[in-house]
Amino acid sequence: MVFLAFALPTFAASPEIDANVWGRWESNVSNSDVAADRLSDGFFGMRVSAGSGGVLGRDWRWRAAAVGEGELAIHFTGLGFLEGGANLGLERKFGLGWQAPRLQADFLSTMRGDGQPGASGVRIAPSVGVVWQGGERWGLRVRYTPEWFLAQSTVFDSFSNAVGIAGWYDLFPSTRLKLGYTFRYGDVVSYAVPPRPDLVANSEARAFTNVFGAERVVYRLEAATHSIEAAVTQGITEVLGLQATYRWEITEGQGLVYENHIIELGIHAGF
Amino acid sequence: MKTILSNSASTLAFRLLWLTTPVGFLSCAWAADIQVKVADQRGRPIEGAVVWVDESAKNLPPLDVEISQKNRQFHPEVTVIPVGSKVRFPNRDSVQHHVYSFSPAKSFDIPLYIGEAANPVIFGRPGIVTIGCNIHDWMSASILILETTKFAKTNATGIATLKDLPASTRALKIWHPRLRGDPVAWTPEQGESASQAAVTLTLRPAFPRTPPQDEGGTYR
Repeated sequence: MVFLAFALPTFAASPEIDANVWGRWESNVSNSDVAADRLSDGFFGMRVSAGSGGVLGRDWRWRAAAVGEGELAIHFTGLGFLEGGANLGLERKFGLGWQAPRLQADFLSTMRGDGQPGASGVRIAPSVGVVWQGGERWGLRVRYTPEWFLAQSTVFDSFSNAVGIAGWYDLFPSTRLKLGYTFRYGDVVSYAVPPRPDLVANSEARAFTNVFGAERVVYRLEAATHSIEAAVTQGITEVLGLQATYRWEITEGQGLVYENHIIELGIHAGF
Repeated sequence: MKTILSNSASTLAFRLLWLTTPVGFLSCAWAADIQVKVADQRGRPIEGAVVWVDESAKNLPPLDVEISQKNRQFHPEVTVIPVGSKVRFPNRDSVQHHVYSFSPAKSFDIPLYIGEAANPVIFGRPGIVTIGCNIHDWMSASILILETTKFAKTNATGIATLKDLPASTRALKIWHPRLRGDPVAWTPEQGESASQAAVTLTLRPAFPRTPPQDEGGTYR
């Protein structure tokens, strides 16, 4: 990917580095449907993206970046991970000017080393979407993302389709409000305290894990997830911003229903 | 009255030459300065506001100016020219730019280039032209095309001085790229000094016009 960025000098490459660090709290990291099984945890994470982008003609732009991400879990250290890979993107702008809608297609592929035995694997996530800056202060983004995760253990294998719509509004020149909704349908991984004979009928893949201390059953099933997100971003300098995010998720499928409340505080730097 | 005001050295030379002529000398004797102080709605001085004499002069000497692109910004952000002037748009970045305008006073686009653009753009109608870059959405600059050569920009303290104006000059206009609405007109009210003006402009905030970053980074 980086090779591609430097191999296309005639396309006027423009180097780009983005870094994000965050602290996050999740109310239900175990994705448990039973209240007694539900566990919360906090995470510290970092994501770095370094690459380049440029133009491929009057209406086309490209970007290519190497991406790296990692998280540390505060209590259940096995939930931490390291992930690295690359993202390739292509954008088609329909018209002239900043209000012209854009069609974006991306291809993200990463290798993930996970703290849980069997949960490491390869992630492939192409996506296609439309971005439209409707006015000086607001815009909309719609994106479809199919995602494959090919894990060492079949219980962590997953495939999903997600469609998201997000809108943003600049309250002030440095303060942005973002609201989003995502519908995802596909495989989810949940954890339960055994015995759970009911899972046998619903789940295609099951295993035992000690990632939460005492032994639990980890199982995969198909479910639909609705998530609603609200975020406020505050620019501190031209290259530095703070973001506070709240996300509510509800997942339903095969007789299972669970919720998750997620609060995240992050710092973003872009150069 | 043919006294010409501008910041360019060539115009300054022209003015000095003009003053050596008898007509020029006499007209200078009747000249006056007007100092204009421009502040925003909170009373803070506004830098970069344009103040000009509200007139429709004919046969104005055209200027040849440049608006360059460096570090993915336009320089300068505000350019003032008389009708008929030429503007060149050299790109001094190592990335391509695509300069465009949708403004009724002059609509154009100069697709993807580095270095000198093929041809300068001639601005033959008075008005306000906002230019942008089709690649870098945050880039923006304004060109004010006037039917006068008597104009000045405010400095950091919000003050612009129009020099050597005919004593009969009474009407000015004031504009800033972030002004809400049309240029503001100023004429001295009864009892008010004709040589000093204080004008308040209501400015709108400058928004970034960039989509939030997604997982794949940003297109720049």
